[in-house]
Parts: sequence; structure tokens; C-alpha cells
Amino acid sequence: MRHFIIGLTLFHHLGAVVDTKTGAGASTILYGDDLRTAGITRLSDIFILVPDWRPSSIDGHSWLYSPRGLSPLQNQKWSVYLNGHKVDLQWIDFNHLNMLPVSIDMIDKIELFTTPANVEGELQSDGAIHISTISPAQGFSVSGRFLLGNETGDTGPYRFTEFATTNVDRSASDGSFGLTWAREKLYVRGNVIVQHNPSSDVAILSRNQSRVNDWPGLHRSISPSITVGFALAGGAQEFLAALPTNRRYFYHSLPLAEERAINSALPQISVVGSFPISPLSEFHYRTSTSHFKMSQHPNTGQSESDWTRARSEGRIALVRRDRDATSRFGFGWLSEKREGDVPLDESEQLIVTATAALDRKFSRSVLSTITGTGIRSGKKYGIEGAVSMAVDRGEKWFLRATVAYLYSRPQMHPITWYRRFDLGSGAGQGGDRLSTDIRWAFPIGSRALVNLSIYHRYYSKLAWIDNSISLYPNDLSILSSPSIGAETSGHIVGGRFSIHNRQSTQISHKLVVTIQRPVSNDSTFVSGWQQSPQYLGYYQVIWQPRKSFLAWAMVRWSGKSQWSQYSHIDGIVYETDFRGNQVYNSTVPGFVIIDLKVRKLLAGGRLDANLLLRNILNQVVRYHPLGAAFGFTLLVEIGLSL
Amino acid sequence: MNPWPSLVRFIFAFLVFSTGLHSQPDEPFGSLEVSVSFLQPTKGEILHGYWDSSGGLEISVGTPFYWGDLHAGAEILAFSTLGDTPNFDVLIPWLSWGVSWPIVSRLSIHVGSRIGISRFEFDGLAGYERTEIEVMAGATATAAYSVRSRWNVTVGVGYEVIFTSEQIRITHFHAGLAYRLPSPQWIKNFLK
Repeated sequence: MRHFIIGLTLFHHLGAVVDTKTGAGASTILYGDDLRTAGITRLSDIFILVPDWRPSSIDGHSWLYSPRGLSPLQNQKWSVYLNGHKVDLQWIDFNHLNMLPVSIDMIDKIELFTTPANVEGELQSDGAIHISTISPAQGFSVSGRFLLGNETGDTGPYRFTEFATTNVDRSASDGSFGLTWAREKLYVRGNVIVQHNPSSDVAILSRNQSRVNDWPGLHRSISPSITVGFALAGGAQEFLAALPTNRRYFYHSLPLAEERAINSALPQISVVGSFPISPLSEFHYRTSTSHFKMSQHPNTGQSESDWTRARSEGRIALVRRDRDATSRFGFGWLSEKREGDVPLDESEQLIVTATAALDRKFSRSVLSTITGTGIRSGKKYGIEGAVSMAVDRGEKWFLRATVAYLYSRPQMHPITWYRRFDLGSGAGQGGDRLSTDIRWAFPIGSRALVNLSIYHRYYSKLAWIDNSISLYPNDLSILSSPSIGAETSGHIVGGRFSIHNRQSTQISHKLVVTIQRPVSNDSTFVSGWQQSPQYLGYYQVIWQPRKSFLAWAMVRWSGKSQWSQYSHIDGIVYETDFRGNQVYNSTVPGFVIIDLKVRKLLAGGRLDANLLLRNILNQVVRYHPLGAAFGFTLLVEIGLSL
Repeated sequence: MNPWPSLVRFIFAFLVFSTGLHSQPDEPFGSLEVSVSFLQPTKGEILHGYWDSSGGLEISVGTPFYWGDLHAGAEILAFSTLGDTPNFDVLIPWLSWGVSWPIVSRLSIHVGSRIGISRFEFDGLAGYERTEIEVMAGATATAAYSVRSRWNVTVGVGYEVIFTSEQIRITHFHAGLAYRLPSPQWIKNFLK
């Protein structure tokens, strides 16, 4: 019986990846328990568990991802959904996932799409994350978390001696608080997330000491939100209002390759829902509006930091569910108006889309999905489509193959600065792309589950951002000259292997190995993709001898990444102390690190206490040539749930 | 660069692999042990000869865990300058896990590893300049002699590493008293 139960737990993951609501299905699903068990403290940490998103960051707060070759790091076009809302987190150069007003303890599951797939009625071809929160319990409930962290490497009392070094951190804290009330189908949830980020790594500080008149201090981001869910006309509806803000954020402008101290706010409201039209048909809708405003922090002597962006987005769709097929027809729009310190070639943009999708079950185990989208923006148009076939043999094996094609698709380029140029068909649209994904999952005995996936992308007309970044050795000021480069073509090939073994009721292991390589005769194409490491993976062990206590350990590794645009910064010294010279390097070395965590439930499960040791061997972990290094860090987190 | 001194790594590995060998008669969280100890760092090249320590104090509370025992405590050490650097105190709240072995009828040995946060406070400075915070890890070995049914006299040695960029490594001797009492039911309910 025990083995049977273990088997069911494993295969819950196997079968759950085919979800008719999401069409072709998610590539990876992380459950709330997976996150709360592992050393995850912020949303950006989830990619510790999903290394095929190939993360990169300069300051550890804003992250760039390249989900299985669906887009390079320069094009952050992946989307974020929260309970069906498409959340606007994208401003300037990043998709700011850490500003989503969701704390880890609220999450039921996260579906990650690294294969073109139909997500909430839209064909998402550049990757997507869909976060579902835990359904609220009836009555009142309260939750909160508080975290304190400290990174090692401070100078301490040696500050007064010849062993002095630059202080690498201040103690920083994160917190969240949520209050929910629910009665039958009506619920109201208020939530606020607060994060602090000390931009104090010496690799960043030293570039900016002479530029910034008045040091901005500790960066604080606050993301409050209110959600109201209710039943209306036979369907479920949900309203979301959020106001993510940043104060004193020393954010890195990718084209200019330097930091800007800014304040920002991104208020937004969104409504999603559905109504039944007939016993077989439903009407689905989603609409949102947001207004981004960024301004320079006072007395920081910089320019090109005042931006506003008004966005309105929506989608309507008819969904018909027959016995063996689900069909969707929908229309969508995305409207944006931008204004900044610099003249833009295109300050207003409207993109409209029409989508048709068909999910068909040929038998109990065979499902196919076909999705097609037409896109128009002004005089530009494009099409994209995806075909997927899945065979789900329950507890025996699962196989899915997906082919998707994009042609000349007009898009909002996420890097606002580039909109001063006519982006044409290249950088603005990310090129044409043919992608192929195959995934195969099968159990070994009753305790182990293997997932194997391979993928291929062919890009044509993919334009890169040309830049040659230099540092003046005297004051480490930056010289950059970004421009839109020529269009390139080439292939991306990659794969992911994972094996999850439930050794006993107390111990489970998981090994994940990923590899990705660019293949092309065009050196620009190859060097652009080499900004992401070829090899990434981890090995994780969870030991839970009691319901109220667990220990988690992970070894994770990353290969090196090469950033040819930064080759002129090689060898430039940014700190000299008793240890010698610390220098910048356009080749970011790989690393192997170990994380440990223990978790104890207290007060009958109402409190949980977590002690996390990250990078316990204090290896140099860096994700970008100009970025911070993340050393051995101690984190203590307390959670409350009533 | 592996920041962990060989001694700390050895002691932690020893603890992990020896938990099966020690005796664990007590119910988890069934009792509390309150300890007070005086600390005296060894003389020598701590802090590269810029400071000397006049000693310190440590207070802790411990309880049996599912394996071994858990302690939470805090120590404070005072350092005096030997030159023109400022005097400072360091307060280190910590969490420890360890195991005990009975040696003879009233004598037992306890070995534990600990992790905490060191907070330095410098004399004569203000604002951000006045304090620094850094991670600490260490290990202790303590002999406890039972003088009465609930009272123990303790002596031992500890080794702590503070992970500043130039690490601070402190060896200290400690001596004190410990008092054991049954855990109140509300504490047992809270910890389980």
C-alpha cells in the first residue's frame, strides 16, 4: 500500500502536465509544497528548480531569462499570468517577476511553459509562467512571512586596519502579509509584499561612486494588491488591483550598461472571468490596464530616467467543449503609449490578434492541439501557429511533440530604449522561428520518474543589439554605443533530463541536467546565445523524517557564459585590497554550489521556521560581467498561517 | 574558496554520522536546560593583534530534539584595542545542534555545532559606522558534571569563525552552570 501511495504521488506529476485547459500543457509544474520545501524565498528563486530558463542578473533583484531557447536574453518577451490575469511587470529592460504581489506561501502551483502553448486562450510562443494561488479557506485567514538575510564577506572590525575591504552588504529583510475573507463563492484577499535590496556589491558600487551625487540608500520595493472573486451569471469572475512600486532602485539599464537610481510605480487593474452561454459553450474574457511611471531619484545627476507608459490589454474568446474536442476562437488587443526623455520612433502602438485553437482527443490517451494566431500592428502583420500531439498512457509513459512557427510577428519590444529606432522586422519582432519540442516521461518501477525532452529552434532574421561596452579605468565610467545590428540566422539545440526518485516516505532525490548550444555559421548569432550557459543543472535531496521537520540540500551547477560585447572590460580593476585586484571579466565563470535548508513547523503548523544556507562553500557566483557576486548567505525566515 | 575551517567541517561530519551512537533517552522538547557561562578567548593572534578580549558571557536554552539536542543562545564578547583602533563589543545570537554522551555516572560530554549572526558595535562612532553584522559558525565541546539532581557544572572549549572578508577565528574556554527543568506543556505544544 505504501508503494502504491508513493507511486500515485509521483504520477500525479506525470499526468498533470496534460491539462486540457492549457491546451498543449505546461513543460514543468512546480507545486507550492515544492517551493516551500526548497530554498525559495522570492519568486525569482523558482528558477533554481527550473535551470532550463537560464537565468541572468546584475543585482539579484531583476532577472533575465531565456526559456529553452524561445528567446535570447536580450528579448524578455515571456509572459506572467496570475490566476488567469496577465500581469504587467515589464518595464524598461526587464520582466520584473519579483514585483508580482504573490508570496511563496500563497502559491498552489506554477506552470512554466517552455514550449509554444495555448495559455489562457493565447498562443504563448516566447515562454510563459502561470501562477495559481491556493483557494481561500472559508472565513477569515491570515498569513505572513518575514525574512532576514546576511551575505558574508564584510570587512568587520578590520575596517580600521590594512585588511579593510569594501562592505558587501547591509542586512536586508523581506516580508509579506495577507488577509483573506471568503464565503461560499465570494472572496476578498488583500496582500502586500515588501522587499529590500542593498545595491552594495563592490562590482556595482565602484562603477557608480563618482557618478552618483547622493547615494540612494537601500532599495525598497512594495507590492500591495487586492483581489475580489465572485460568481456572476453562472461563471467565476475575479478582479485584481495591484500597485508595485520601487523606491531608490538602482536599476541597470542594459543598453547604456549603467545604473540609474529611480523611483517607479506600476498601478494596474485587471478583470478575468467567464460565462456559460450554452451547456457546451462559454464566453471568456480578460481585460487590464496599467500605467507605468518612472522618475529619477532626487540628486542623482542622471538623465533618460523619466518614462511613462500606459498600457491596455485584453482578450475575449468563445470556448466550446464537446465530448472529444475543445475549440476556442478569440480576439485580443494590446495598446501602448510611451513617453520618455528621448524621442521615440514609435511612441504609440496597437497590436490586435485573432486566435483559433482546437484540442482534440482521439482516444483516451491521444490528444492533439492546433493553435493559430494572426497579428496586425499598423501596416505590419504576422502569423504564428503550433501543432502538438500528446500520448498519455497514464502510469506507463507520456509522450508529446510540438512544432511551432512564427512569421514576421510584430511585438512590443521589451527594451523601451530601443524604440527610438524603427525596429523593422528584426529586433522589434524577434525574427521568424521554427521550433520543435519532444518530451517523453516514464516511470522506473514504482518509485522513480524520468523526464527527457529535446528541442530545436531555427531563427531567421533575428537582429541583435550591437554594443561595445568599455570602462574608463580611472573612474570606471561606462562608454556604450548601442545600435540595432544586422539580422542573423541559426539554430538552437538543447535538451533536459531529469529523474525523480522517491526512495522512501522520508527521502526523495531529484537530478536535473540541461544543455543548450547555438549552431550557426554566423558568429554574431553564436556569440549572442553564448550569453547563456550551455550546461545547467542540480541534484536535490529532501529528508522529511517527521511531518513537522525537513532538511533540504541541493548541489547546483552552471557552465560559463561569454559576453562578447563586454570584451573591452576584461582586466579593468574595480577593487584593490589586501587580497589583490578584483577585475571585470567578459567571460563569467561557471560554478558549483551547495545550498542547505532546515524547516521546522511550530505551534501545530501555524508557524514555520526556516534556516537557509545558500552557497555554503562561498563560491564566486556571478551571472553577468558587470554584475554582483553572490557569496555564502545566511537567511532566516519565519512564516505564519492562521 | 571553501570558507569553512577543517575543524568545523570535521566536527559537523562527526555529529551527523554519530547521532546513531549517542543515547537519546529524553522525549523531544520534554525538558529545558538553561545555561550561563563565562567565556574567555585564548590569547594570541586573534584579529591580527589589533585587539585583545577581556572575556564575555553566554546564555542559552536547550531542549532535546528528535536527534541530539537544540540550543538557542547568545554570547557577548568585549574587545579592547591594542593600538589606535576603536574598542568594540560583539553580540552573537546563535542556534546550535549537538549530541551528548554519558561518560561515567555524573559526567557527560556534549559536542555541538552552531550558526549565528555577529553584531559588532564600535565605540565612538555613530549611525551606519557604528555597527557591522556578519555570519558566524562554530563548534563547541563541553563537559557537564551533575552536582545536584538538576544542576550541572560545565566547562568546555569553543571554536568560532566569523565570515568577514579576512575571517575572524576565535577559540574560547567557557565555564558555567546549567539548570534542567521539565518543559511546560505550552512550550512542548509550541515546539512540536
